[in-house]
Amino acid sequence: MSYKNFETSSPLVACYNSTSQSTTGVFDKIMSIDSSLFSGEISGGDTITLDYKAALMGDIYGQTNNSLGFWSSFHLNGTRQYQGLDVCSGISTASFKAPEQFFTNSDVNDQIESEWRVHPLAGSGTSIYITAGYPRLTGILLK
Amino acid sequence: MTFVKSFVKSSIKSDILQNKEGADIDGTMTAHFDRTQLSNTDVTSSNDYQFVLPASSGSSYILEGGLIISASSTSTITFQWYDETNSKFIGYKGFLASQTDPNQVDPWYNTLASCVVLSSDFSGSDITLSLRAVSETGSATYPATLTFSGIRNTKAILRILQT
Repeated sequence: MSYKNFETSSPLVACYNSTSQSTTGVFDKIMSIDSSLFSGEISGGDTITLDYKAALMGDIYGQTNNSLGFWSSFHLNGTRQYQGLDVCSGISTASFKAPEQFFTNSDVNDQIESEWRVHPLAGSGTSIYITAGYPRLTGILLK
Repeated sequence: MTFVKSFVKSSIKSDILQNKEGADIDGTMTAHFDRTQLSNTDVTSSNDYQFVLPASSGSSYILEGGLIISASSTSTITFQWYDETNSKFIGYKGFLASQTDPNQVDPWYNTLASCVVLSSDFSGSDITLSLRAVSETGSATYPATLTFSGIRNTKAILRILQT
């Protein structure tokens, strides 16, 4: 005897952006998402909705031309969630030394977005380059 | 014989806890997390740094946790989950470096220490875990939270997954 808990969907979430993305200047940015390997409906190029609760992790990797504060968070229905560990602080002209990781638990049909933030003191000439394939938003559906 | 499909809910549960202030435990930098945020899994804690995985749950667990350090000179910390019940470190280590600016966090490698505790690892007793420093260089302290110019509020988190 066997049964499946998820009859019509994979219990995995794996969404990402297939191309690189970049900005110049200091501002908060909702990150683009355009691809999903498993569960997840993407709308507007940046918003994911899931039919179930989920335990989610995001990570982001790239480069900057400046020493700055740079960190990421999930947004659920427009509300910022736990901040990541700010991987890029103090790094000048270098790749991030490790992917920035951030987490949340989402509810049914939450509007899920991911955001990066740059510290205002980084300066207007600050450029951010996010490697193709990032951010990656992965997780497990909870039923 | 007739089988009826069972649409019982998945037993997977998840909790996310925020890092919080806490003193060294027996001279070892030990991560503290807000135990009041335990709401979905069967994990319990009475002191924010020891997390009890109940044998009675029959579950397997994944724990991923981070630390935040601060220092006046470049310092590093390697940390790992410690199985207090069986007196051994388990899982993959996390690593973090602090630059000279105490407001800067500068991870080089994994920023999370992770471990898996399988249901078969329980031998009838609960398993108590804590996230501890394994090695340190420099003069890092454990601030739990870093704030900078009002908008950055950096905290590490503990994520628990239970089957």
